[in-house]
Amino acid sequence: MSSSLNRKPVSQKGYLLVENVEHDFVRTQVLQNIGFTVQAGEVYALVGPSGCGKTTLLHLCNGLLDLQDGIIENTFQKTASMFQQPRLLPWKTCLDNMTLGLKAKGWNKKDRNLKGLKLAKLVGLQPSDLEKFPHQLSGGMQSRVALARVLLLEPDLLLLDEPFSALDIGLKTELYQLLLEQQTQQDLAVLMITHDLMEAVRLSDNILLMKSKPGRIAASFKLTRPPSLRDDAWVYQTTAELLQQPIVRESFELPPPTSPSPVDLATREWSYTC
Amino acid sequence: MLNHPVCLCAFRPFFLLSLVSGLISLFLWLGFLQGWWVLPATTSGIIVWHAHELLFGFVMASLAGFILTAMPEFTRTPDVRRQIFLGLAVLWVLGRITFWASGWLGIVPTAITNVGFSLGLWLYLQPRLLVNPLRRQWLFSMGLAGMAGISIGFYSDLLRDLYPMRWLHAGIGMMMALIVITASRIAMRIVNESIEALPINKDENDQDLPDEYRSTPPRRNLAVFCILLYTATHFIWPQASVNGWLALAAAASVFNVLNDWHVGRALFSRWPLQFYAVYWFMAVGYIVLGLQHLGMPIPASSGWHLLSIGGMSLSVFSVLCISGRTHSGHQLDERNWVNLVTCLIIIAAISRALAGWLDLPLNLLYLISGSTWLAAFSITLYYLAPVFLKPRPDGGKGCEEPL
Amino acid sequence: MHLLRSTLRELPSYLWSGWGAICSLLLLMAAWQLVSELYGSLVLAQPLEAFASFKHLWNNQTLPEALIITGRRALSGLLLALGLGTGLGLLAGVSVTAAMMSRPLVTVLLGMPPIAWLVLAMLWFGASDGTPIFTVFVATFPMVFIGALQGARTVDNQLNEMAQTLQLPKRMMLFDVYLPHVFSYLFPAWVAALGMSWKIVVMAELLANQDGVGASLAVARSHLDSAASMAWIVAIVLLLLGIEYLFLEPIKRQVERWRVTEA
Repeated sequence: MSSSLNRKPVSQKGYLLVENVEHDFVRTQVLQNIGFTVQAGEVYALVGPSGCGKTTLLHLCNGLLDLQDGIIENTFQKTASMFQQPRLLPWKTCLDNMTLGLKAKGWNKKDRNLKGLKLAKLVGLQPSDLEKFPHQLSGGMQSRVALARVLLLEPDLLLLDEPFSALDIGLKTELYQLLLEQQTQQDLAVLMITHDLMEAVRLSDNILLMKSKPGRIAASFKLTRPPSLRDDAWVYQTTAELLQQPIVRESFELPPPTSPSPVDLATREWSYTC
Repeated sequence: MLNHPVCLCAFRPFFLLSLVSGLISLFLWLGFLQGWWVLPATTSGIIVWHAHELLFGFVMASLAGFILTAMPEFTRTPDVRRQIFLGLAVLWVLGRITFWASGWLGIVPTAITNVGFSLGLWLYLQPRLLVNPLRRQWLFSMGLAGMAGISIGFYSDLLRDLYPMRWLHAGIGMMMALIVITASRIAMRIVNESIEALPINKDENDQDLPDEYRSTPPRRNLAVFCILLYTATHFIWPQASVNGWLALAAAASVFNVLNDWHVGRALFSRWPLQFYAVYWFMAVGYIVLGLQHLGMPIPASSGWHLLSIGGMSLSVFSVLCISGRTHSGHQLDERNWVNLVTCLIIIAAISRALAGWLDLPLNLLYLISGSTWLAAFSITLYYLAPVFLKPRPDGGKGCEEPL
Repeated sequence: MHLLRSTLRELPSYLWSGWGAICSLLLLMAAWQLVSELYGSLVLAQPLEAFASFKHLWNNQTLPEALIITGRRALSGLLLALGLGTGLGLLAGVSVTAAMMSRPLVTVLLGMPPIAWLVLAMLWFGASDGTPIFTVFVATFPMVFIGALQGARTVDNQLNEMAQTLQLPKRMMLFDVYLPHVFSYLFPAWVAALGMSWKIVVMAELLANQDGVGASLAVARSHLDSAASMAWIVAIVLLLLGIEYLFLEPIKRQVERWRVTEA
């Protein structure tokens, strides 16, 4: 069934192709027959219950795990990852943390600090914050540093493992907004993990719904309205519509709907394939 | 009579009485030291008279004025009623008269009035100090109780025909502890106001400096503990060497309090600097006392006078200026006489402390110290008496801060 | 360079914060004074007597000479332990097998009382410098070893992953990720070892040697000279306090600035 999900790459800008990927931990199969393709400028969301293998899949994509079976082809120039936690080096100041990736590429201190300072303003960090150590900043500020660290690399593919899930809803929205601006400006490809369906509806073009034991793609939803035009009402409406789908309920192990659907499915702006 | 502006608030009569009585008793004392006249006979001699009048007269009146005005504010209770504070003031005046005339009247009248005053002050305030569980003022309550206890001890010694000087030394120690407690309360405001008054100038060098002054209770409590410990051991064993170490420990603990005060440029404005000087005098005074106990050939009276002139007189002056003006509806005084008086008090403290060292001319130093002190507080009286005697410029009818 | 500058800038306020410590020490002096007055100078000399004796010993060069001898012994043993303990500990930390194997050994070493080592050392080295040096080494080695081992074992895998996705080169992995972490375990162990070495060396000298602070302490005791005994003890404690507050603590503040939590 996965073959129907795969479209052959058309863009020259680079793509992430995942085909027939399977993964076992010792004797448990955690991923079964995964396949999809992310192209430049596309936002893919992996949605599914906890423990369905989303993080494993992402780690296969960013090379933290070795591929056992199948094909993962990444032709993007620069891939960057964000994790659930900010993962800042506690013994480095925020500026040094931000520019760590540039340092790895051999930039000299002056240049990378200059670039870091410029970007810091964009993600809402004060110059005085940059001299501080991570423990002196709030969780939200730490996440901003982590975001800046990734954006400084000017990646063309971003792999996000629920990077803002620990933040309050206001901060989360703000940081995602920042990210989306970059995404549209730079024509970034994004593969993000979330267990929050509404988040996926708000941000992504394609939602890959995963089921657990073993982790596999149960359905793929394509959202047709561009992210910039999605207002709250649309997001609520669409999330509710998706939640009416038996396949979604089954994958999140929700009981079948007891009352008839409160939403009108006639106006839906999405399509799905199994 | 009750409607005269001097009765608007508790501090007005008390601060006025404090200044007048201090000036008279120090003038008499200086004249006596210089051999210009003899003092009327009082019980147990003139040195006791000198110490008692400045401690239980001059300082105690300022303390009463401050506490009767500030405690209602600290505890959010109503202002002290006129009848009450005027009654206490009358009792205090009677205490002065009976003590000065104790050569003729005997000890009982002065014991009743003086003990009555300090005990009455404590008992009257006690319910307010402890009523509000969120704003309990244990330290002030214990300080006032301590002063009352010291007064009782002093007179019980007198009645038993013992030499009562040890109680006056204990009184100085107790006042030092009260100053540490009080100064941190006042300074919290004064220092932070100076910090806010600084021009905003975020240059790199100032990044590490604290942008707020906060008096940390552990340091303050350590200082109070060390001061009281020394006061207690000195009271029990006046000659013991252990006093030396404890006095030095008290000095170190006072210096330790100054850690909170090093807030950068804001310290170099007049009000913070006054309190800063008070702490320095206290610390140096205890160092002198400590070295003296450990056998250095220096006079103990140097130490006691560093504490009493540098510590007490200077803080009395600060409290008079700050509390006296803000609670009568004036802004803090920015005129130069304040700095002049501060310098005069500092000269008085240092010159008195030097008396008795090596071969320095004793009488000349006494004269310099006494006359600078008199000059300082005469100027204070000249500038502050109108504040206490006239109605508030903002039309206020009580103790509230400028409207 | 940056480190030095910020140390110098914080120096005045750091030194001033010493008043709290001085205050506690003076309270201790007061207690000492009380006890000595209670039991008499023969049992415990008064502080001023001890200080006079200290001054005397200092002026006739006995004290500085002994301090140098003792310091040399303590430092030799310590440096040996720091070098070997750190190196072997890190190696053991890198390999799980080696860590598994060495843990019980270190537990034995840590549990063995230094005085037992001293007995062995006296058998092997007699009254030479070897006895105190060996005892210091063997008593401080396991502390350093375990610090290095734990530092190497607990490298944060999350940070490791982060560094991998940023494609940090090997050299940066070492200097920016691993070493700062390991050092945060090593440094406290070094400091503890330093304090320990000073105590052990005095004990070893007291029993085994003819010179040094420990031996002088033994001599003062045999002469029933309570003032001199206290003078030697004061010298030992002063040096320890000096190292702790004037040398180690400022370094610690700078090195561990990133750890300090806002009060």
